[in-house]
Amino acid sequence: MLFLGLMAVLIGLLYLGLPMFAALFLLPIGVLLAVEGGLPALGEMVVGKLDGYLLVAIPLFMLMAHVMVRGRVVDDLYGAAFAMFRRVRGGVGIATVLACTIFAAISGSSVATALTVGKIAIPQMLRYGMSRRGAFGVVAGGGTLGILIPPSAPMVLYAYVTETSVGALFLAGLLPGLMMAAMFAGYVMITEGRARVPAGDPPPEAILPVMARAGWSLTLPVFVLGGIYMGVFTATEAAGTGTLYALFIAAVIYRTLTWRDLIAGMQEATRTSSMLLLIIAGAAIYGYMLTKLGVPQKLTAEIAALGLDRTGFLIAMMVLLFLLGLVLESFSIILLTMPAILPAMAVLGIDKVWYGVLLTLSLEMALISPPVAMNLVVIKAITGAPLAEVNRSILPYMIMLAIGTGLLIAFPEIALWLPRQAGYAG
Amino acid sequence: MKILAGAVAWLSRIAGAVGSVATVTCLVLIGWSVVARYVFGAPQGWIDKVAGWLVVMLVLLAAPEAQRRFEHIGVDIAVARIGPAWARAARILGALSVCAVAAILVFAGLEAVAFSRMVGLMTDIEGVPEWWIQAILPVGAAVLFLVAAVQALVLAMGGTPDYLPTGNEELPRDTLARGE
Repeated sequence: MLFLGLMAVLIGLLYLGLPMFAALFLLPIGVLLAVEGGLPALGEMVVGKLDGYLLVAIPLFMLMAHVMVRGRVVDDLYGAAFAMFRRVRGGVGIATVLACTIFAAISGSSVATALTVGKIAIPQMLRYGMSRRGAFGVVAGGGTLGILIPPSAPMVLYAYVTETSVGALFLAGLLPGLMMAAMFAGYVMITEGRARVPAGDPPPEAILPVMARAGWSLTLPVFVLGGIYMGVFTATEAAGTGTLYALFIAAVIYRTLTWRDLIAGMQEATRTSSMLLLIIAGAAIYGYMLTKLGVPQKLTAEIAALGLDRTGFLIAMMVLLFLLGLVLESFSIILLTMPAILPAMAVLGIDKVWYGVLLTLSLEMALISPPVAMNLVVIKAITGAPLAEVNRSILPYMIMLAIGTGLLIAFPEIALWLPRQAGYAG
Repeated sequence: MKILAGAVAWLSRIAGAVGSVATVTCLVLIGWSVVARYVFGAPQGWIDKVAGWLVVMLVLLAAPEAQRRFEHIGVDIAVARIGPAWARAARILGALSVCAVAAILVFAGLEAVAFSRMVGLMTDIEGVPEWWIQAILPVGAAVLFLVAAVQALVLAMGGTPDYLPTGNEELPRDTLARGE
């Protein structure tokens, strides 16, 4: 109860207009002064929290995403997917799911995926006769894959907070991500079979040249994940070399990245990282407060008193995460919940890598859950469609994500098989 | 007021630019450490440590510029829906809360520096004292304080600070920072 009470106060502060990092500093400082009558060595705590080798991966992954988004590689990706599936039943929708899947691996952002793929894919899908609801839904739903399919910034943060292997987490997200992509593609094939190549449509570009062009961007996730999987790079080195490789692709191969883009991308990546990492510093003080108040122990005792088993606990957490996702963004949810529930997870024998993937799936559902769903806001912005219409388009994808979460709870191996092949011992 | 706001904006941009240079340096160093290990067979252990310091630098020096652009993560959607007068009040409260945090960090940073100097704390890299790294905290926090204070002042006087969100933005400002 204390945990939920503190979270309610924090959310209240956010709704009063406080930035997340300020609320995360001020709440624990106020509580600690009231309860303890003093504060820990804040300066050492903040600098010590930020000075971590794994955290170096965050600005570098952010920079990689900015480079690839600004490099406009999505045009070729979508072109290749479209050329492959153009004549298949529901092919234009399947191509969109495929483009979302690949761009997710490149950008690590769900909203960036929905935005960049949606701009190209939605007009094409509508031209091919897909229903508006179907076209909006597939982009909003497909976009959610951004934070599940590695590399994924929320997973790096989760790994940092829970002291889990980033490589294992990335590998664990891969099969569930592909499973969700297959479910989305199957749904489009069944429900949007009437989409046809319009009469008089110009002959499609030959598949091979367009595939060859898109191939370069396809190699980026292979390079990053392959490097980690084979033990060539640490996660931080994979982020660094991946960014250099992304720069090579966008600037030398595609020639779509200008100096202006590059400088703007670097400035944005720096500010983005600053915002996120400042929240991490605040969360360290929040975590210190939780420990001082004995919140993790109390929460573990309350769960034991409720008689929740592993599955019951996971379902309760998925519901809580989904609800938090309606009012908070992904990074804050990870930072606010994990310090409190880690001991309970250990008692219940819940694997941290498995839980990380489940958590990401819950965050994905929140990303497309009205009233404040970022992916839906993006669809509204790029199509001008009423939000009510966009909201209605997403229900099947929420159900599929819920099914995917249920499957993953029932069969943890969907997430854990691949990391175990790479030597993960959890 | 305009001169003060301009001077603080200039300071914030300079700090932000130094933060961006830290990001680029980080990228170059990490790239070099891989090349040094695999091509020259000479692992560069010091790079791991220095990259961590560069992260401290980029976070604390870019934070004022993110504040100047009203980009720090919050529940923007709530502020956008409460009407202009209440939204202004919420923005003032937000800026004042940042001032409070920044002031606390300035003092905490100065305290940390003084303590490290007093006991002669050194980092793992020879010749580099701990306080060199800790000194970034009060510097960045002081610029952050100035930026937020000017924003609060301009808003309280009925003015419009640079980059103030109008509430009509169709897309969220920075979704990558939200992990979305």
